[in-house]
Amino acid sequence: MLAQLHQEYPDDVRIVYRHFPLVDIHDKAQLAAEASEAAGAQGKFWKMHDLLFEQQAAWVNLPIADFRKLLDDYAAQLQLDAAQFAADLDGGKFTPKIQSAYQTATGIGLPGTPFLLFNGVPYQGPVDHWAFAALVKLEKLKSRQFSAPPPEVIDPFKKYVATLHTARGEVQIELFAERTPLTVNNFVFLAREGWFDNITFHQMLPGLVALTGDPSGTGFGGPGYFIPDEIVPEFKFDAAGWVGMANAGRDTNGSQFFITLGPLPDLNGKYTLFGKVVSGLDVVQQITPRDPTANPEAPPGDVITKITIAEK
Amino acid sequence: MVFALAAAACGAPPTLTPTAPLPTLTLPAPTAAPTLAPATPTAHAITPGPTPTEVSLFAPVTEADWQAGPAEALVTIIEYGDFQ
Repeated sequence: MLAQLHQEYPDDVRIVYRHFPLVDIHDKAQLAAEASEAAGAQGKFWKMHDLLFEQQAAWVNLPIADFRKLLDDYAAQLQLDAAQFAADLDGGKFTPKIQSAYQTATGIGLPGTPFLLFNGVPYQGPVDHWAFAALVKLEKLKSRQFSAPPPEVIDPFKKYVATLHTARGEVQIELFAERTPLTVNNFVFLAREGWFDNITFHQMLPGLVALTGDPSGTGFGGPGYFIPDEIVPEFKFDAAGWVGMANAGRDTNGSQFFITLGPLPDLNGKYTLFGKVVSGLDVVQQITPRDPTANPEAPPGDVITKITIAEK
Repeated sequence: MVFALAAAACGAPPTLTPTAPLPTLTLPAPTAAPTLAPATPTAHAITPGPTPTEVSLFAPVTEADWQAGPAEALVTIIEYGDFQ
């Protein structure tokens, strides 16, 4: 899983492996770790690492003597110097190194394996490719984030219309600058900064909502700051075409926004409604359905190439 | 489902943990800002990482470590693993 992540992001991801053989419960853990070191001495640590994990089912229940023989087969498969490999392994050349690694890991108090550190922070979420790819995408987004909320860039008494440019056509959104000035100011600022260039509709639930505004495409990304809610009581999500800010609770608006595709009364009072689609709702309705929360391997979503702002 | 950098209690290291889905909505929410925004409207600033003391639990990566990928990589994932 981590090897795949490294292959996908060769410049951005470094994988480090440290031994923590659970020798009390795994009779072959020490020998397996030593075998990886013996292969490593011949420049093939990762090859042996991958092979041991891939073939784990084939050896996990073997008596240790049979496993030792199998290791010679693995060494041959990897075209190692067989005599050297056997000598290193049977001479216990790497026994102290693995024992020392075990002492270090138990000294830290690691609860078990695999134990993962993501940029120094213990990771306890799901260990799957989607979660780690999302974390990498969010890490990459950091370089684009802002350290402070946007300055004042709009005149709330002017009219603002945003145009979403997509391969399927354009969507025009009237922005309610007068009633939700902070939100519209933020949206206009981000659009002019190019924040929305080439972002996907990362979630599209037909008849409900289309969600976008996160350059990481994960659904967890934001601009690096929060802006407060601007709830206008008489603005209701009572039809298709209303535009609202996504959030993670009160006053946590960033850059993700959604377009309703039907009435969603549950959203009233919880999400800032700051605009309305004035043309191109049919374009929104044609967006590729996608729900990464239900299917992490969902195909890529539709892309907004750019959002332009007209001021009148 | 929201990724949060939740600081654990009792001085334990913070963890990267996804929380439960929003109870009533399927709208995924933006994550808490990973960089701390110093300025005003930020409502829920969240600790970006462990404190120096907590970091020192884990040895920094050196040339002695088995590693794949550039030293200057944006992301370093350290696995403490057992082949069995």
